[in-house]
Amino acid sequence: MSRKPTTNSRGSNGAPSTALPSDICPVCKRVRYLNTDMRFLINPECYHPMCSNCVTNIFKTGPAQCPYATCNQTLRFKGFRESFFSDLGTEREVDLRRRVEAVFNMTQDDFETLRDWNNYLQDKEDLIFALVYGDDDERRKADDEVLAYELKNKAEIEKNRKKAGMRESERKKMEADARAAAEARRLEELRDEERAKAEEASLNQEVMEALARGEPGSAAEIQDRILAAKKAKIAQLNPSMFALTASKQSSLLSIRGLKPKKNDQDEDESKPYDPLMGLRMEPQRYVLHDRYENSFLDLARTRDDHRIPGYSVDEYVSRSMFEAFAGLGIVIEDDKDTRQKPAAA
Amino acid sequence: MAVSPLVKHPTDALQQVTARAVSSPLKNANSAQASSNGTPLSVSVVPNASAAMQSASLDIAERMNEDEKRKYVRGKKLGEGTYANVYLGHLRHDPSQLVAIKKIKVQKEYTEGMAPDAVREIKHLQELSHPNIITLHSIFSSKDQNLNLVLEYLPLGDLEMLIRDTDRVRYGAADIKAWTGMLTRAVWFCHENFVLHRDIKPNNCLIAADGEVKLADFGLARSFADPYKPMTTNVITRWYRPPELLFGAKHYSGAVDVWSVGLVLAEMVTRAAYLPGNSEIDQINLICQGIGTPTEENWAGVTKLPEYTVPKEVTPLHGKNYYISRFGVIGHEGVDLLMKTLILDPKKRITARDMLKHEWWHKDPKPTLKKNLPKKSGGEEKLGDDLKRRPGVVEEDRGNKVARKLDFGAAR
Repeated sequence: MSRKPTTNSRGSNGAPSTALPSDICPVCKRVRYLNTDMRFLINPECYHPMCSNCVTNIFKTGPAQCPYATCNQTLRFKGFRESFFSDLGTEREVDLRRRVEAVFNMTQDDFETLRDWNNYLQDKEDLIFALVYGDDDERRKADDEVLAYELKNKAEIEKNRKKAGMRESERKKMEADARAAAEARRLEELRDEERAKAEEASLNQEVMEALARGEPGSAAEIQDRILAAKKAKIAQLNPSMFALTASKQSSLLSIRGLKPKKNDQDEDESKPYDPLMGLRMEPQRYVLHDRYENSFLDLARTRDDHRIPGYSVDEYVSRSMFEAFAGLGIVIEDDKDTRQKPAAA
Repeated sequence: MAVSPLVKHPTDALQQVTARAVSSPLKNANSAQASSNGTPLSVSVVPNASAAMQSASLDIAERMNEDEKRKYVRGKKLGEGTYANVYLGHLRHDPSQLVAIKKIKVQKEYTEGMAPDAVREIKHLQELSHPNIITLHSIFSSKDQNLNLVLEYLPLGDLEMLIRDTDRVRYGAADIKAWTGMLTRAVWFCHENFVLHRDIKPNNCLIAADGEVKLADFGLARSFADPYKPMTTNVITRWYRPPELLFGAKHYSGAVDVWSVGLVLAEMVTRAAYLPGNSEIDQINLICQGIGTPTEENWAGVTKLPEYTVPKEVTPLHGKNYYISRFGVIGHEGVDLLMKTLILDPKKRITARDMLKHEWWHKDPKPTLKKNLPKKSGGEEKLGDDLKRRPGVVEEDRGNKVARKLDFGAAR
């Protein structure tokens, strides 16, 4: 099986032919003319295209070497897919970018200065360039770097990914809201138009009637008079209505492109569950001993009616200490400011 | 006439018109029944002129009460009961901040002074501030010296609603774990502050808008007792009452609340009360059947308790397999925790603090996040129901005629 690789632009390994073949499978030389449903698949290991028939024939039974003469990648059936771009170089670059992007997924908000952010972007772009256009050594080095970074910052990456997902869904929701609002506005306008039409029709009707009654003045004058009367009536009925509709309109406006609000008090799924929720209640100002001797307590320790139902003298002792120290260290002046807020909340 | 010499009384009637918001001559007329102790504090001038005119005739305590009352606007009634009415309310300056106002009714039994449940509720709620305990924002009295408690507004009903609504509400082990965690934290916080709640049950676990469970109804709460001071045994709704109370022990500890938490957990799993006794005798029988008969072997000295009576045939303590077959949903560790809360001997029963240190919390599944917990809307009336209920009583419609009022008079 030695076939001449088609246009081979770069090195021995993983060098993509630049364009997807359109008519002839480079492996089995089948022609589209005879196989109208021919599809070309690629494997992101080496991006060598071949028809789906070849893929089934060669790889269905298990992993095998790429049929291209100079390529010694071992490929698996599962790895094959259709290419999105007809240019395989682009396809490969997009894949690599996607991979690097998934690992280096911080946003500008994570950086203190614009400069740091730009440096970060530059580093990322360098890595991508090495992966896409570098020779074997550069590629391997860049790959190792990405892997090492990924291993080191697994949790951080996962968190950023989640955040991005949330932003995305929020953005979608905002868009959906905006669409709904636009639809509502459109319907409202339609209704207004209809109302205006009906108004005009009724006005004409009234003018005709007035003319039929033989009121003085020309048709235009009568129309003006009726209009003025109507306006006065509306204004009298509901002077606030105009203002109301105006304010309604403004609330319908939706502003796009706002940053989603941060809710940092929200629970974080990635953190382990803390049954105490961060609250610690150990005494700060004194140390409790295991046992406190006092003749007053002896009877409570031994009497059946205390002992059997679980009355605890130790609890009594710790309560006494607790109550003795309760309120110490609280400065009312400081407390006042903080008290106002919860009361208002 | 209890007029302190320290309070300046205007001699000139004209001074009243200037509304300096100090005591007026009118005060002398009604200070006999008002609690005038004449605290000589400098009085801030009330900005509202009419309010100043009105408050000019009040002493400082009354004026503070009036100010507090004016902070809130009372809205529609959410529920009415024998013990209290509950209204929806909001802050006067910010109508979006909702509160529930619980107005305690004047009760026939306690015409002199306040009802003990109200006193208990106020005394403990104003001290306890925790995310899983209902917040008491404020208290004021309205006309006829009616007590009004301004409580956090919790719109999503209670745990009982979720447990009972088997058709529409579905939940799993992770949700049970989250709820149990929140309830346990509330009980733990009470106990760390030496307060016994003494009425833990699903319909006292209200649910806030964000899904947080909040322990409410402190009408039976008290602080841990001193030695030799007896406490009443007639507390905790019967289904959740531990054996030591049923046997008439008068000196008990936080273990009584832990038992109730255990039964709430069991109820969440099976979605039916685990030990629904319809009398105290029946309750003891159910405990003997469902957990095991208390004997000298598993609880040293139990036979000496004043009202120790158990059925003749002794049921041995059930093993772990028995619980797993019933409550297996919450996993081995969950069953282990449940068994520890339902240990008959209160000395051996797990404490709320140790409950939170149990490994169950760290096993899979992770407790559900608050925002993802199953919820049910339309809990408004239910909040009313929950707050107006008299503490320690099972609702009539839950069991057939299970309810019986508690008699506080006997034990006090």
